[in-house]
Amino acid sequence: MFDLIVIGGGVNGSGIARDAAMRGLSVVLLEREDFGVGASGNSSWMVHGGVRYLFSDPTVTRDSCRDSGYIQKIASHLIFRIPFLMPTVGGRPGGHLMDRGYLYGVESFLGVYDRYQPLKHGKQSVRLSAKEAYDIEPGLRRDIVGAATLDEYGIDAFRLCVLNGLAACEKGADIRTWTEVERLLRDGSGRVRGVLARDRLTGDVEEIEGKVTVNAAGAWSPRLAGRNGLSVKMRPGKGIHVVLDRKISNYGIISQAVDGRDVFIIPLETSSVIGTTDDDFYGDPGQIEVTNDEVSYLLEAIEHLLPEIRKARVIRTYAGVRPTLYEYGRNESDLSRDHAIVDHAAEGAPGMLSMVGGKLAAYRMMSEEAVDLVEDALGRPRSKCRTALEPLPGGAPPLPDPALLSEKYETPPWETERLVHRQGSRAEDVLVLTKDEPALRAPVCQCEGVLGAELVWCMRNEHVRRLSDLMRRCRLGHGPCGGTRCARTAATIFARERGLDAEAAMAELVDFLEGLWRFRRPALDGHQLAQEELARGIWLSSAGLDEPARGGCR
Amino acid sequence: MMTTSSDVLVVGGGMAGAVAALAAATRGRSVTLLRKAPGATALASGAIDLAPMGEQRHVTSVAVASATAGWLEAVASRSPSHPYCAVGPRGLALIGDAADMILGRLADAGLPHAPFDAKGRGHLVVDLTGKVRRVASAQASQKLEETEPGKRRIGVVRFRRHLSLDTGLTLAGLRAVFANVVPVEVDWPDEADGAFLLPVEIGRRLDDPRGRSALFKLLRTAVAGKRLTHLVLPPIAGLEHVSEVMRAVSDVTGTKAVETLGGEASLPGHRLDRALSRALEAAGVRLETNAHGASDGKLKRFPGAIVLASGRFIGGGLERRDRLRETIFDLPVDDGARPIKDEPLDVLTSRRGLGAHRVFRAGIRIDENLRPLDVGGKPFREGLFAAGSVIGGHDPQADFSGMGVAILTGYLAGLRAAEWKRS
Ligand SMILES: Cc1cc2nc3c(=O)[nH]c(=O)nc-3n(C[C@H](O)[C@H](O)[C@H](O)COP(=O)(O)OP(=O)(O)OC[C@H]3O[C@@H](n4cnc5c(N)ncnc54)[C@H](O)[C@@H]3O)c2cc1C
Ligand SMILES: Cc1cc2nc3c(=O)[nH]c(=O)nc-3n(C[C@H](O)[C@H](O)[C@H](O)COP(=O)(O)OP(=O)(O)OC[C@H]3O[C@@H](n4cnc5c(N)ncnc54)[C@H](O)[C@@H]3O)c2cc1C
Repeated sequence: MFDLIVIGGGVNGSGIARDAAMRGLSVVLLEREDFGVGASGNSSWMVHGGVRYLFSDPTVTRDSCRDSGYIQKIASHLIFRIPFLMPTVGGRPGGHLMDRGYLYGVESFLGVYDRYQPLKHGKQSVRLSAKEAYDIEPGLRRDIVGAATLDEYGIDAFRLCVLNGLAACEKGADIRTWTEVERLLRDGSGRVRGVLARDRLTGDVEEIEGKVTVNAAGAWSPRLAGRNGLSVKMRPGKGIHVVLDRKISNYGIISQAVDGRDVFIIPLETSSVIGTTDDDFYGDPGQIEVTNDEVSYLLEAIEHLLPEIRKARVIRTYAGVRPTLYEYGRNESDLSRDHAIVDHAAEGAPGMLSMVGGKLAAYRMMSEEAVDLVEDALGRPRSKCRTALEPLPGGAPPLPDPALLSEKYETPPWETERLVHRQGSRAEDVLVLTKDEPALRAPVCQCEGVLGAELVWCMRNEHVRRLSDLMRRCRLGHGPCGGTRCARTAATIFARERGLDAEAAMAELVDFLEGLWRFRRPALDGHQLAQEELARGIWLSSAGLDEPARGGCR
Repeated sequence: MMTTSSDVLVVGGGMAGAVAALAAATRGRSVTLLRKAPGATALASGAIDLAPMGEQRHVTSVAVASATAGWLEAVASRSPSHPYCAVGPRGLALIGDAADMILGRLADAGLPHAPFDAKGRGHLVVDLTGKVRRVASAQASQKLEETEPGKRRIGVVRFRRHLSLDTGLTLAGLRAVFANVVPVEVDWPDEADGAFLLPVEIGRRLDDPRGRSALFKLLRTAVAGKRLTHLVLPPIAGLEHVSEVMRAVSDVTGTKAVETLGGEASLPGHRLDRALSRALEAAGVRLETNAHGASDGKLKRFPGAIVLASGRFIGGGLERRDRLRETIFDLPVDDGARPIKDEPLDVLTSRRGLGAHRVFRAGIRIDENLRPLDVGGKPFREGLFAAGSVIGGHDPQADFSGMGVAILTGYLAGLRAAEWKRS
């Protein structure tokens, strides 16, 4: 019997598991796939207040600005700064004055936002002339009248979830990925006494008992609750992103889509990410797909300011469903981003809470709030939350110097830098693996800079159950080659680590490649087709994957 | 840029273009071959598939002999849109001549291949994941010698200090097919950079007798006492001197050595590309490499016959920017059954990535004389012929007719171009 069962390994579920485990509760976390596969990992990765919510809901902005300051403290290695430009476009004869007026409007809007910048250590916004803007961002279209700057922070949200899960595990929590909650267990009085969970890789079904259950299943929550006669109200909003093969801009740039919504492009590692859309979505969040139209919508919005993007190659897309709080009638983008914690006792089902909404930046606070309520439900006094004080695994400063590590372990410098970004103060623990196995000094994924050692480390220490989990641990296969150069080697290492036979190893490889294909398919065009032809040649003619593989996920 | 004095101009330097140029040169024509860059041929595995040989794609038990003769015809009769069908039975009957010609030239250029036999059952090759299949031909170094099953004992070489050459999956896969498969672990001799060498760099080192001696010493020790009949290596056996390297490995280890097929950064593909260039030079074909490539405007002034062998997306013969098009003449493109224009990619592809997709069957249409057809189904232009993967209606991967199409249509287009006279 656990004190707490957490359903969902998104940022909220993993955040709760960590907080509860740190407070000494016995915890089990059940995730139907892998950390971050829902909204969290597929979000825009910004730990911001969201300028967009500034006027509709200032509390969201204030809270998340303060908490994004905390996140920078506990996961300093994962955070990166994203300076943004918001260019103002002129060019219409006679429209000049109006454009200027608009620019000042933008500026004073950002001025409000700036009040919160100190909370997250951001720089104050400034206004740039057109010339200044072209100096730092030469690719902008030629008729802008000026630009405002805005400072944001980004975080690898997959790893943020993983690290919360790892931290929970270090404090004794039981972490089970690829394990789906099929239904809730209720006793005669209606109390939720646990869940029925199925391990999707082994097929094993198990009853797991817990004093309190927290449903942090994101956009899946309404269905999960509904299947069990409970209700969670939500207005799920689907959002997609498009990834380009190269850095197009030096800064994040905010542009406007045909319908007036803000669309951004940010340079991320060696690529660019364009986001995002927001549309009502009432289907199964696990079956979400990206459409050709959504891709064009985003590309067109950015092309408007950065004509260069048409030369780039779209290498993949990704999609998630926002678990937005229920509120009818308003335009999707205006919906509140705030959160709620629902106690189902009111529906005759005590022992169960649902977490709805929230933002990446606010997950820690929201988890704190939820665990306070869990302790209430357990009938124990509220203990002190320490999640803002203790670093996440690898987040303890000082971060190691990549140059020194690369010299000491004879690993290539760029990959070692990426390793430090992902593993923080644990980077050296990873590199120590190369002492026994010098081959692990070589990069396996050249696009994302992943050393053999990092793969092996993740397989051994980060709850990797499937090859595809490595996409989320260290971006394996997320670069321009789409796994063409790395997947076979990674599968070989995985098979050896896990003692898989040929058939099981092939099933992992196929699952990995098909997972990437699913989100590459809607954006195939231009040079990507050549890349695809190459990949087909390799997988079908050189690696024997021309017969559907058996096994894998049930 | 272009010699107007040649009789025949070939656009494209992959397998199809090379075969066409050699066929036309054999008929005494002066030939210029124009190419932008290496294409799919230079990236391929080294195996030459012509058609599926046998019931199943992969051999699961080598004791069962697969079906023989007639597999090429079987493809033609099963899919009417396939180039094997388009060229007609008389064209198809020339496959033996075509294969003999190109394999002979490649052998002369230092890259011997397993002999082609239209009535035979093909040769066994081992791919990177240890799957075994029958192919029409392959580089001699890739042919797995068939021996009596009882005596067979296969060693799979793994270089411990080298990740991308890790043969773990090859070993596991081979074990599912054969009894008696054992690992042979070898430390790469060069500790400092062993982990970072590319296959091509390793190939170069092995070309050099001094470079390979250290490795061979280690190999000899590693196989000692294992009583192996075969030794499977990753695809690294030299860039230029593959026969010597393989002979030396066999001698040192007392086994029949074989390489797996090439994969990412395929050394066998690279080897093939170089050998094709040497064969073209030996036949007196003028090679012109020009990064901008040929365009309709430039080709218009050429008075002789033209062979279009520009490949697909890798080669650059096809391109899609909102609309799928043939890049030089803007010829109509179809998938063998239906025309393709600006359909969105979700219509042209299917859910299973490793499955079949319309967009990868796409290409131009030809008639029996290898002439590209216009929208009305008429020959597009006098003296224009097409060869290789720029032709639609087949998927080199999904219907396993890979290089076969390039060789057959290349040969036929080369002959037609050689015969052609302006009327
Ligand atoms: C396109 C997009 C962009 C966004 N951009 C940002 C941004 O830049 N900044 C920001 O702060 N926020 C952003 N958000 C919002 C933010 O991502 C979400 O609010 C937050 O991630 C919600 O976290 P969660 O843990 O509640 O849900 P999720 O991350 O969706 O987690 C739910 C998890 O539950 C699992 N699950 C579901 N059913 C079951 C079951 N039956 N059994 C076991 N497990 C189950 C799922 O697999 C999933 O992993 C964005 C969202 C989207 C969609
Ligand atoms: C990774 C991989 C593995 C494969 N494995 C196998 C296998 O195991 N067995 C098998 O049988 N087949 C295999 N294939 C398929 C086979 O390689 C191809 O079907 C075949 O090589 C196609 O040859 P091609 O000459 O038609 O095209 P390509 O080799 O692509 O040649 C096209 C040429 O045209 C040139 N060109 C294009 N446009 C212009 C222009 N405007 N001006 C000048 N030149 C131009 C290009 O530069 C290039 O030189 C594989 C393919 C790949 C990619």
